[in-house]
Amino acid sequence: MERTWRAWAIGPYGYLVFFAWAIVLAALTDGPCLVVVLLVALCFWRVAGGRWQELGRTQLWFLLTSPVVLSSILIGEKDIVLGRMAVSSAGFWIGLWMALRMIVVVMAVGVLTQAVSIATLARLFEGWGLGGLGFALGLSVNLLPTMRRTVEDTWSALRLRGGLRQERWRALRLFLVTVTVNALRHGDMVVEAAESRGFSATPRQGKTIGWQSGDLALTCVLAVASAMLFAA
Amino acid sequence: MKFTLRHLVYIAVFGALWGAIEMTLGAYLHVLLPPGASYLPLVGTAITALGLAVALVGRRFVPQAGSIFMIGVVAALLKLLSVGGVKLGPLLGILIESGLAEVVLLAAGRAGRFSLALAGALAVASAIPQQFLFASLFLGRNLYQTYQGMIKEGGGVFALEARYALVILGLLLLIDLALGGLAGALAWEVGRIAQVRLARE
Repeated sequence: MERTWRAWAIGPYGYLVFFAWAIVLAALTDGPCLVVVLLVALCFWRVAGGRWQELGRTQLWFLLTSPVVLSSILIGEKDIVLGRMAVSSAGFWIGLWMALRMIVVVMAVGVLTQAVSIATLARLFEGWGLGGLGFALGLSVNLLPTMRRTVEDTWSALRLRGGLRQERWRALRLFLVTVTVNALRHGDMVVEAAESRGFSATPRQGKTIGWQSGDLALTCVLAVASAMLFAA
Repeated sequence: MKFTLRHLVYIAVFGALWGAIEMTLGAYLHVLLPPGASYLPLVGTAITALGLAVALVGRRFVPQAGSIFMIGVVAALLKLLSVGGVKLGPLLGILIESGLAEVVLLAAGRAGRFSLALAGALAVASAIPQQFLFASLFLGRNLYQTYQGMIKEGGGVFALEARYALVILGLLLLIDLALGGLAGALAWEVGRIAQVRLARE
């Protein structure tokens, strides 16, 4: 019995297909269809090992509620009065669909990162002749906060020295040069760290990752679900 | 496309920088600015040009075919995590712009000041045909409806009436080409100065 279940287990391709499905459907649907996509994503995320505690983070809820609040205030004609404030129902719905899309993306990313390691992702890309893309992508996700801090620090330094008041072209050039140099310095440190751990960019000789029965079954189920959603 | 470890790290660095620009500036401006704001098309073009400038600087540090497209792929995938939600248009836009810049540089053979400026100009100017493509693909609009929308938007930017449609289109194209060209020239200069500064260390 256990053997039968193992034969139908979902592999990296299945998780990638689910990721792509969730992202594309989140982008193309809204209204009840988007709610269905969200429910499917929620079920899959839970099955893939997602924990409810992860959804309780304040940061995540701030990120999710801000489009609803902002678009209710900023977008469309204000037709509802809440206490002393007038808000727009059209803006509310736009913000709500935006927030639901974000939850679907968070779930899809969560499923992919829990189920597929960076090493497996790198091997998958190598199999498609895009050696290194998986590594670059995984690294860029880790680098994002550092890059953001570099940009903010440089901008603050430039502003505090009055660099933006005159010679704006020179200021923009200085800003880009400083950001580039600092980013590359950080990149060099990453290279040294990776080399000292024996990481190599050349493709590894190993078993290639293939499609499993579970991946094919999941792809068929998702294709049927998409067809039903678009037909509805 | 075979890259060394250092090249892959640099691709990740420049992809993350472009992604950070798109995710923060791009997403916030598109969420926070009221729809129909007359300066919105120009703001979008400026953000595209800035992101592309970062990718073109990257070409100087990863002087290999396919590097700009790889940087674009990384930035586009990071764009998926944007606070503005998932939008296929900007994502495909990044891929098309980086692909176009890559093709121009491959044809030019060498990443000089002129070829970088040309690559930037053509990549940013591709935003206009992209609008027609995405409006028909994702919004179900026909070419004429998209054209009318573009003229109305452009007319708002330049304070011109719709009867000057060709002038509006020409000005939009000119601004895209100029901003893209400036981005390319800036990238060449920034790359050169950064290389000198790093070599001194």
